Amino acid sequence: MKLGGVFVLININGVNHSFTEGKTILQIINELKIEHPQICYLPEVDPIETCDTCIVEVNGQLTRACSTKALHGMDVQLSSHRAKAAQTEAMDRILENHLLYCTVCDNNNGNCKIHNTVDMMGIEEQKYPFEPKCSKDSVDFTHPFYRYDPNQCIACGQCVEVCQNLQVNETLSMDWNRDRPIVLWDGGAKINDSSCVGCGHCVTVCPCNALMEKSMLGEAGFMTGLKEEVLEPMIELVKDVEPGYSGIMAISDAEAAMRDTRTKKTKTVCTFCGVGCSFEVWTKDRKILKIQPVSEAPVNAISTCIKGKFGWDFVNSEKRITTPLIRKGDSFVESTWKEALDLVAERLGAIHKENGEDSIGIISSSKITNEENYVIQKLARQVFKTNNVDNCSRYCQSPATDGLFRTVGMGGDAGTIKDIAQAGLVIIVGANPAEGHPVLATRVKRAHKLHGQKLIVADLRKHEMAERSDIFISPKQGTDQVWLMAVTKYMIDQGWHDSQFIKENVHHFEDFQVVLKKYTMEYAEHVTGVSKDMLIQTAEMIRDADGTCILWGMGVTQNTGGSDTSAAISNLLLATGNYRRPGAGAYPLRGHNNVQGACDMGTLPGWLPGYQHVTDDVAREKFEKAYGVAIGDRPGKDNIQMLHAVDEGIMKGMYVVGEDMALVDSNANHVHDVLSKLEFLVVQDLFFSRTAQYADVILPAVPSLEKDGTFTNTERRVQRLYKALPEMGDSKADWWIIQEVANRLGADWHYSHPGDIFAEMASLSPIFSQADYTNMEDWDSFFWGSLDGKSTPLLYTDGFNFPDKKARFALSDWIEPVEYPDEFDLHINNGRMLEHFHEGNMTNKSAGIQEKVPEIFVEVSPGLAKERGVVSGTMVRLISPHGAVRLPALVTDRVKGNELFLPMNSVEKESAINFLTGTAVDQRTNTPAFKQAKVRMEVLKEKVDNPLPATNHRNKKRHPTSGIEVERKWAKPGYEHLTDQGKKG
Amino acid sequence: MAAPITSIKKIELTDEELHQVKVHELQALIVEQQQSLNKILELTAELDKAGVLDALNAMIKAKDEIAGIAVHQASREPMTNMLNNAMNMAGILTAIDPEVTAKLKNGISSGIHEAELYGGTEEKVSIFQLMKALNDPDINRSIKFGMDFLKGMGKGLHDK
Repeated sequence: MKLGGVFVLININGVNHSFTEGKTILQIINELKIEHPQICYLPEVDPIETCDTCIVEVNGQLTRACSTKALHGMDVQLSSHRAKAAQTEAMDRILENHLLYCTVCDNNNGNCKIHNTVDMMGIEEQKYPFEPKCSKDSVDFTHPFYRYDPNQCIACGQCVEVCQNLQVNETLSMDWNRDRPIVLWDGGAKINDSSCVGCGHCVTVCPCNALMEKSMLGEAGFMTGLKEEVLEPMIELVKDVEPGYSGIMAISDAEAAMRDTRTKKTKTVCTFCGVGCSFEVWTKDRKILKIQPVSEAPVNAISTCIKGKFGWDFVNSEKRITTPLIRKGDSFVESTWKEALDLVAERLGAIHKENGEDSIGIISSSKITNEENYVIQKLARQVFKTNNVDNCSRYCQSPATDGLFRTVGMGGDAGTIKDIAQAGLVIIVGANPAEGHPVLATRVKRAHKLHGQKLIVADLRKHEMAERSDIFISPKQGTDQVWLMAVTKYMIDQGWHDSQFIKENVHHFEDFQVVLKKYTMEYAEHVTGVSKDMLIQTAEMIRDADGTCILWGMGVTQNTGGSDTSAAISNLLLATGNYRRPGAGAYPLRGHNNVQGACDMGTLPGWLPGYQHVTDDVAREKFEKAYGVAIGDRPGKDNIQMLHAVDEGIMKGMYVVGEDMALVDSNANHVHDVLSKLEFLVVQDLFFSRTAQYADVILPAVPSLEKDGTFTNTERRVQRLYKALPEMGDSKADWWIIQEVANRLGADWHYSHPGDIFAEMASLSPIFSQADYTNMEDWDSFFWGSLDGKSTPLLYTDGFNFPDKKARFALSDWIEPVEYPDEFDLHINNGRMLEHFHEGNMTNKSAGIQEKVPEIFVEVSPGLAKERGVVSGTMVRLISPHGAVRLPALVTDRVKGNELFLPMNSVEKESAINFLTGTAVDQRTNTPAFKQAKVRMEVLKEKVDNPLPATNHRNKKRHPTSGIEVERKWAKPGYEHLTDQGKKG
Repeated sequence: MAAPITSIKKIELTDEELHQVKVHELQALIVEQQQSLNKILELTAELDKAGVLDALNAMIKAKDEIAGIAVHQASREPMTNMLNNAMNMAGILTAIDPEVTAKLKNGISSGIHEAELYGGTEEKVSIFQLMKALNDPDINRSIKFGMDFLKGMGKGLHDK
């Protein structure tokens, strides 16, 4: 290979290979698929260098292949006598710490790194006999989801490195002071009593069975369920007999092959948040053995959060609805599919016939697949001839999409998670990714800790990202637009904007400067309460950064000015040239796994699939031709308007898929009244939700693990999921149900697989025209983002999405938040918790998660607590103009002053946030201003235990280190180096 | 108008109905799998006749105890010695080139044949005869093989 005129060649085992500069020797060996031991090598982190098994001889010197950069002309010997001797010695040192009882080990599933390396190296015996390091009872079983056995631990430190530098939770460390090192949690606590957030990184990377998912124990193998009394002597027997290892390996390989026929491994895409992690799910019949992340997963690689790794109990929950239910008198009665579907078709058909198209409304779900969203909008438009279809993005993301459509022309993240990781500066506004988008947050935390990335956080709460930030500003609720505009103005005034970029790429710069006029630093300081100094520092940091990414969430969008604030973010990025390049751009963080996809598929009142507007005659006619019906040229009713129409008696029938409207809509008390007014309500869900209580027919759907299809994550990345389990009971995939309903109402659909649906959608949507199931097989994925339909990870490289390829500054003033009467003196914020997803319908089925976060509470600042005589566990009643809740207080400095925080994971009327929130909405998109709520607080006499268990990670202190700290291993007395460099000292 | 309700009436089958459903399912299965069922029944009848089913039954019921006994027995020193010996012997056998053992086998059988031919005479072998016999190429080959073997074995003993 010729690079910059220089041949870069490396000679491995006597054969010349060309390579790209900048790689390590081990990376090249692996690319060439040459077998070579590498116990502690993890591509996701920097070289760990603890195991020494990868030692090679380079130009006659023994060195670690994992940490040595390949240079032109190097002579590399992988198996010279000296190299082999060093590798064998390294492996001997490892086996001193690990007993090979593979056949009766739950980790013997064909992917155990130690097992496979012993096999590969042809090791027959070990130099140092195995000796346990600790007493037998030191196995730590305390955590609900995993256990640590120090006596099987080889102290390679991969778990420590990922905890410190990939997940960056900073809990694990290696006890190098110990004669024979073991892993410590928070410097020596029990796992369950530590700052561990249960992300599972450590368990995933463990090269043996030292760290194991509890769900695997006694389940994975054919003989691993043996009782201790039999298992122990069996292991002893193998030891006493001392067979050559090839014999043991052969038997355990055979047993692993047997397991492979029973353990099903299916690729799936996580169903919790919008990050779009993918991984294998291992199942044995209906039992979920474990989630196994892989390096090939394009978004997350080996990363997961507690929900994605461990939170799947809801799938096998007894609370699933598994039979269609029909309302008869004051009860729901089980029915056959035929009976239920006939009734749905008959009643909705009759209402539609009698009252016309505005009498029917359909709410789709951002949890179901793209294909299912597509058929739902088709059901609305083709069968009911209405645009009255919407999805839950109305509650969260519509303002962000609106702000981007107005300024840059596409409603999606500008780039990928890799752009976020490589940005010089990340600004997070009104979002808490460490809890809401945990795996995405890990990339920011890693870049910030190791690679000099700067971090600015603007939020009411001092959450984890705020604690880690370089600048934390806490503007008054609903004033983000003011400081964003002030910083933009300041930068333009200082000449720090990118005038060349603006000239070439953006319209309305003069008008924009007029709008900015009033947003001086003084004005911003006055309105937001953030000091001028902090805002200037923010501007300087943007000026100095090589690429700025802005991430935002519901703290921005769920406001009366949510859309305009989103546009102000995009304006700031346009003014500073932070689009059309890697490591920069706008990143609205999509909340649900498929909220992006639901919008892309056109379950929106104004948009046909692929963001073709219903007012666009050419696009509409294309769909009219395909569907054989006329489609209305005006947007239908959105979520909020539908409820108004029901209230007014215009809308009489609704079909709600997977959305608990009665709980997640703002002003829930009002929603209850409205739902009761419907003539006919169909609810399609996994569980008997609060909304389902109002239904006339409940149709049992299936979760992601029980179907095929695709999800689209926050990066606009479309990924396939494969069916891992059969449908539980009589439940059915949503696309199947919708097709049955449509066909009973005269449609003639013949989809036999979601692939058929995707193909039809792609044929009608230019931005998907080059996507099909074959280019998304297994770990491959597709990014929409170009009108010619090619996969486009980074948007706008060919110009912005307007006919003249130029972006537009949005020209909007700040909209003041809703005013409340003085008696409502406390602002109440709401949001997600790491452990639970959304209102908790899925995650509250997990005993382990419930153990960590069993109940709901309201966070109260120490100052306010002192003033009102509240301690953690004091029951309080919160009263807003719209309703009241009653729940225990939790005193914490995550909130300040008169601000409260109520996590949204409650399904009870007594404690759910939306019995407090009001009727105000974002002025452009009708998204409820969930974040603009105020209450007064009554302190009750009753007191309960602290609602957050002592074992919750929020009560612990992290233990940051620089990583595995291998130098401390090398400095240990008696440590003998195996590399020539090390021997020289 | 639909007030929220929370009661779900499951269709509770009576024991009788449940029984019927199961019988139905089973009948369908029998019809479908008639051939293989017949074979299995034949096989179980034979096993039963031979008393195997009773033994298996008992063994499965006592599986934990039996596994315990087996492992306990196998863990006693004589047993582990035996296992180690067996494995070492197996090791020896696998280490020898089969061509060598074939040659040795031929040599041994030819030797036995020869010995039988001249056996039975009470003739005493003199030193002179022994010296003379060393010149016989067949006897010399055998003596050399024996000496080389002794040398190799001595080396092996020294290494350990």
